[in-house]
Formats: sequence, structure tokens, C-alpha cells
Amino acid sequence: MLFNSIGFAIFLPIVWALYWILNNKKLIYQNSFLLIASYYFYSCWDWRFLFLLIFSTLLDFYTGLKMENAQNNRTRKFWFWTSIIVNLGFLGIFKYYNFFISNFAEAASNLGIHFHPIVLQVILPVGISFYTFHGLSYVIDIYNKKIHAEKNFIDYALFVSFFPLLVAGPIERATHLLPQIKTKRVFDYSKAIDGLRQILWGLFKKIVIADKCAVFANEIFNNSDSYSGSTLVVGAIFFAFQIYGDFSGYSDIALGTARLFGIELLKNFSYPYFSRDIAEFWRRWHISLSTWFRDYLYIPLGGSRGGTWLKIRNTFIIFVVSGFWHGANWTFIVWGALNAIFIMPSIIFKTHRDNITIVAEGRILPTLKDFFAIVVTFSLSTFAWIFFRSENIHQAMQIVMDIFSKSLFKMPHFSKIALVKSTLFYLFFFVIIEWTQRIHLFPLQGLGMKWPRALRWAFYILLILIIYYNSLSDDNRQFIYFQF
Amino acid sequence: MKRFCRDVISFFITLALVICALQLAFSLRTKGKTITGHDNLNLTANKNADLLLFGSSRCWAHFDPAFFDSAYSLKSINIGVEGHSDIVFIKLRLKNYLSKNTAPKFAILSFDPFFYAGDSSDNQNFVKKDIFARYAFLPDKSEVPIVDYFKFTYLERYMPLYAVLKYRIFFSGILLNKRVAYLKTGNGIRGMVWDTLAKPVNLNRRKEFIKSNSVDSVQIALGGLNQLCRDNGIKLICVQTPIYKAFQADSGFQYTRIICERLKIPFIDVNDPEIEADYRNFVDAFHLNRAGVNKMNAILAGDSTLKSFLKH
Repeated sequence: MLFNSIGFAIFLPIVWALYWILNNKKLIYQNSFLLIASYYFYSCWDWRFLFLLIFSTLLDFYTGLKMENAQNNRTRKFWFWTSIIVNLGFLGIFKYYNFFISNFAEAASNLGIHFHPIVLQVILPVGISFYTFHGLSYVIDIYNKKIHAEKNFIDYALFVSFFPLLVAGPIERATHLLPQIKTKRVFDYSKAIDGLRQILWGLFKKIVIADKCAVFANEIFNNSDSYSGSTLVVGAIFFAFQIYGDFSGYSDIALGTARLFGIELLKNFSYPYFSRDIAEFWRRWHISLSTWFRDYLYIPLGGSRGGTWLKIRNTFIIFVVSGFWHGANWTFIVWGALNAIFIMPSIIFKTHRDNITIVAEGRILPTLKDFFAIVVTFSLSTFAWIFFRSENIHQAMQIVMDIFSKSLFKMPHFSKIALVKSTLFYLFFFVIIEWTQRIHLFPLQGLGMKWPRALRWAFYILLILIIYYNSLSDDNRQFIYFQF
Repeated sequence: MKRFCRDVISFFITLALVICALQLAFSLRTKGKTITGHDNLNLTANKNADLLLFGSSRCWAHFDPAFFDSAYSLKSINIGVEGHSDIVFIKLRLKNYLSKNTAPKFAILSFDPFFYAGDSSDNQNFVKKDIFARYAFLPDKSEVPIVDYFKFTYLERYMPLYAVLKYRIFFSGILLNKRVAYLKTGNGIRGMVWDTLAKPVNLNRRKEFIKSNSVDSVQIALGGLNQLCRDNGIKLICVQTPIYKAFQADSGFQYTRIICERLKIPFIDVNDPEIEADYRNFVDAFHLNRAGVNKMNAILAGDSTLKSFLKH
């Protein structure tokens, strides 16, 4: 059930109404009902994988209790590593087994040892990377004695499976979400209205920005051999907006939906393309994953303690692992490594925390220096996206070589001129709104708040009509991050 | 909670009203008009004629009503539909015309080897479905069979704006900026000369021609069409209009004549060597341009079979 589907448009109001009207008496009713709704939501993808989700939930719940009640450190360690190994084992089998076995076979073949690897013919359970990381953060926090083990299974299961975040995040922390789940939610008008506004903006990002940019990004990347360097650059820019619109749009819908149920999820995006350096970009892009890796990998590895070289090593590790988290392909690993390289100067010269405020705060336009910094950062991140989007390293390298050739100076070529014009128009409208509203959690939290209600509603209706118009094309796509 | 529900319901009622208003604006703007020229179900209402020209795109692109008006002194109208050589659809188009007009005395069907029987219960030909999407929302009784034929969905029929937005005809409907010359000439005859490099001859299209195993089904379907004409007092004649010579060797060209002979429907083949051999008479391999049509008309003006058939 996609967030941008008719099915979800029916599911959400029904669940919302039942949640508030029928289950407003006791917390247990609220949580039980949300859990059932979440399991139903997940089973709409493939009910068989529901068992995997429930097993993973049971495992972490049980090991959490066992760690909490362990009499000695050895037992705690045993249950901790049991959970880690089983969780990562599932992720490894479903997501990485084929990658490792085929690469191993290729390496062996280079050494003259030939064998036919057994390749698994299984589909990746949707959301496995996300709910595994939920569970891991919970288990690691208990092991580190940051939190106590949850004793109520329904509350814990809801923490793992709450449907807005189940399939593509944000990756929640027990310290943030569990206390909300354990408190009876009371209806809050402004929070619910804000939720609807965020859903609306998320749908606009997904259906209008991402799906329209995808038409060109897909065409250009799927036929990269036939395009000039200049067209490939434009294709990469379209992909940069596609993946931003797609994933941050999804996150907005997830956050907005959770708000309708009185729950605040972690912010996942904060206008990343207005960043002035790569370090700032990574503080604004997929924030819940970046902070997860910071807290559960970078800091345990030593973090920034121990000198520059250790910091460089640790930064490289988390970026490469982060790339690998996205998928079992060398392209993602190179994408992660490239970002690590881009961030290195600021790590070495200790400027990575120079830009922690909102760019050009209180001003309409940025300074020339800020503008230049934004353009450079966007160019670097877009360059890295080429590797993220390409089918393999060979294609990515070919695209890079074509970009840095004479054909870079040719006029970009497109077959669907009218669609290019409308896409550029929407992109312009989108960037202007995001820029002017960058101090807010999401643009519609600020835009129109001081307008008369009639004008504000007219604007929302216009947005809905634009979404409606664009949602009816045959180019609708799944959310990119569902594959991770 | 009450305030939230009240506000949300008010908003969605406003939204629904806006959507209905836009649908209404579209319907009023396009009422009695054509958006592209091909959507002429309304335009051909209350347009009684002596001679009806109907069939597929070859009817649309080859038959000039003005020619029949002047050569035979018969008030003529062209209701050919691009992309539809299926007799089921041609019959539906004829029924639609007859439901809005008195029956003509004569009808000329542009009949050629592309014709096939079609399937009224499970149509798979959706060419120009976007053009007909304007009729999908709350269709008139007379339009229902065509809406059914194109399998417009429940949402497309009952959700305001859904069909016109989905098939991208809202803005062209409001602006009326994509109309072809139909309004002026009553047909789709074009002046351009065939660009044989851009549209080379594709002999694979012969696969679509009538084959020995499809002759019977075409005959039955054409028989049904003929019966409909008879029931309405219309005299039917079939005319096979020219297509490029490279396709002429196919046996499909014989089957058209054979089928008409079996059904005792008068038949004229206008595939003249002078027309069919010269690419300058065409816009593509299957459609004549104005020069080709003029040459075809010269033949039709002197054709004895047609002359005797169209006697008042």
C-alpha cells in the first residue's frame, strides 16, 4: 500500500477515525489498534513477510528483557550478540547474500578457481533495513544501559511497526518514540492540521517533483550512451531532485500521518540542497540514518576522539557502511566513499561545524559566498548521485567521462519539450517555496499562515489539483527508498 | 476534535465544489464544439445528410464531403474515425450518428484490407481513447456504447475531472487550441507530402490485413453493418481507397471484393496505378494527401457504378 495510492487514501481516514473515536478510552486500546492497523498495512505488501517482522520484533523484545534481567555481563553479552547476529543475519541473507557470493565467485574465478554460486531467488522484504535498525538501536541502548527493556510487548511491537515509519523510516529511537507510545495520546487540533499540511506537501514533492523528474532521469540514465555530456549533467540534476522529492516527500507523509495520531517522529530532512558544505548536507539529509550511524557506529569506533587520522578513518567507515546499507552494489559503496572524500577537507581543517545555522537567516537572498557554497555543495552531491543512480560502476564511469568531454558544451537534448517546460516550471515553484520557508520544519508550516483562510484554502486546493493532475499520468512510481 | 472534523469536512466540500465547477466549465466550454477535430460525436448531431461517409482513418483522410456535394449534388457528412478499422466500432459510430439524425439515403464505407470484425464485449483497440475521454464523465445515453467500448472505468465515468485530467484534455478543452481543420473542411485531408525517410514503408503492417482465416468473421461483421443500414433504409456501398503500391500484392485486397460480392454490397476499388505508385500522392503509406485525394475524386466522379448507385 503506497502512500500515494487510493488504497492508502481509504485506509488512513478509516484508521484515523477508529483510532480517535473508538479507541480514545484507554492507552492499550490505542496501541493495540494501531498495531493491528500497522500489521495490516505491512501485510498489504506481502503477508508472508509479516512473520519475519513479528519474529524480529519478538527476538528483540525477548533479548531486551533477557539483557535487562541478566545476572552477569557474560549473559548480557550473549543475548546482545544473539540479537545482533540474528538481525544482521536476516539482513545479510535477504539483502547481501547474493552480492557477497557473486563477488566471491568472481574473485575466486580470477584466481583460477571456478564454481557456480548458489544465488537466492528471494525478494527483499520491504522495510527490512529500517525495522532491523529500529530493533538494533533498541537492543544496543539496553546493552549500553541507556534505556530499560520494554515490558509491554504491544508497546514495543508498535515502536517497531508503527505504519507511517515501517517501510522507509524515519529510523526511530526507543528513547524518542517509546515514551510517546507509552503515553495516552490526546487529540491536538493544531498538530493534526499541521500533519495534514505536511502530508499535502509530501504528496506534492513525490507526485509532482519526483515523478516528473523521474521521467527524464530514467530516460537519460537508462540510455546514457546516447546522450551528450550536457544532457547527462541535466539528467543527474533531475535525479538529484527526483530522489530528494521522493524520499523527503515520503518522510513528510510519514511525519504528517504520525502527527494525525498524536505522535511526533524524528525529522528526516531539513532543506539539504541549501547546504553550504557536505558536512552540513549530511546534517540535513536522511537525518535519522546519519545520526543512527553516528551514535551506533561512529562514536563506538572512537568518534572524533583520538586525533585526525582516527577521525578520517571513522568517517570513511560510516560513509562506506552507509552506502552499503542502501544496497548490495558497488555503486552505493562508491557513492558513500565519494561523500567521505568530499567531507574530508572540512574534517581535516576542522570546518565541518562551521555551517550549523540556517543559511541567510533573516534575509531574502544569500550572500554571494553562501550562494557559491550552495552551488558547489549541490554540484558535489549531484556528482555522487551519478554513482548512486547508475546500474554499475562501469556505467557511472562512462557517464562521468562523457560529462568531462567536449559534448559538455553541446545544447542538452530532450524529446519531450513540453514536459521539460512544465517540469522546470514546477521545479522553479518548488525551489522558491522551499527557499522562502526554510526556517520551518516543512514549507506549509509557514507559508500561508498569515493569509486569510479563503486564500490559504485556495492555495491548498490549487496544490491538490496540481497533485491530482500529475498523479493521473502513467509515470507513477514506487518510492525509491522502499527497495532499501 | 469536532473543530478538526468540521474544518476538514468543510475543506473537502469546498474542494469537491471546485472540482465540480471545473468539470462544469470544461463541459460547457466544449459543448457542441470539438477539442481536436476527431471528437465529433456532438458536432455531427442534427446534421442530416443525404450521403454518409464512414469508416476508418482512410474515410477521415480521403473522403471530402465537398466533393460529393458538388459532383453528386448530395449533402454529405464524414464520420470516419482514425485508428478504428474494427467493424464493431464503425457500427457503434454509425448508431451514434443515427441516434441524433435522420437516416441518410446513402452511405459509403471506406472498406479495405485493414478491416477486422472487432469484439464488442472485450475491445482491445484503444486508439484515440484520449479523444473520446471527454464523453466519459456522466455520458449521454447515446454515448454510453462508445464509452463502454473504450472501457472507461467507474472513476472516469463518475469522478468529476478524473477522465479529462487523466487523458490530458482539460487545458486543450478549455483553450480549444488543438483543433484540426475538420470544422472547415469536414474531414482530415492533409496537404503535406510523404516524408519517406521519417515514415518508411513497413511491410509488417500486412500482418494486419484480412487473412483467409478471418474472411468469415469480417464478412459476418460487415453483414451486420449492412443489415443496420438496411433497417434504416440506407443504401450501402463499399469503396476501397488507395494505399501505397508496395502493399497491393497482398491477397487481402482480393478478400475485400470477395466479401462484398458475397454480401451483395456494391464495391469500388479506387486503387489506380497512377495514384498508388507515386509517393507524392500520400502523407504516409496508407493515407492520401490533397493531391492524391483530388486524383481519386476525379476517378470517383466518372465511376459508373457510383453514378448509378447514387442516383436520386
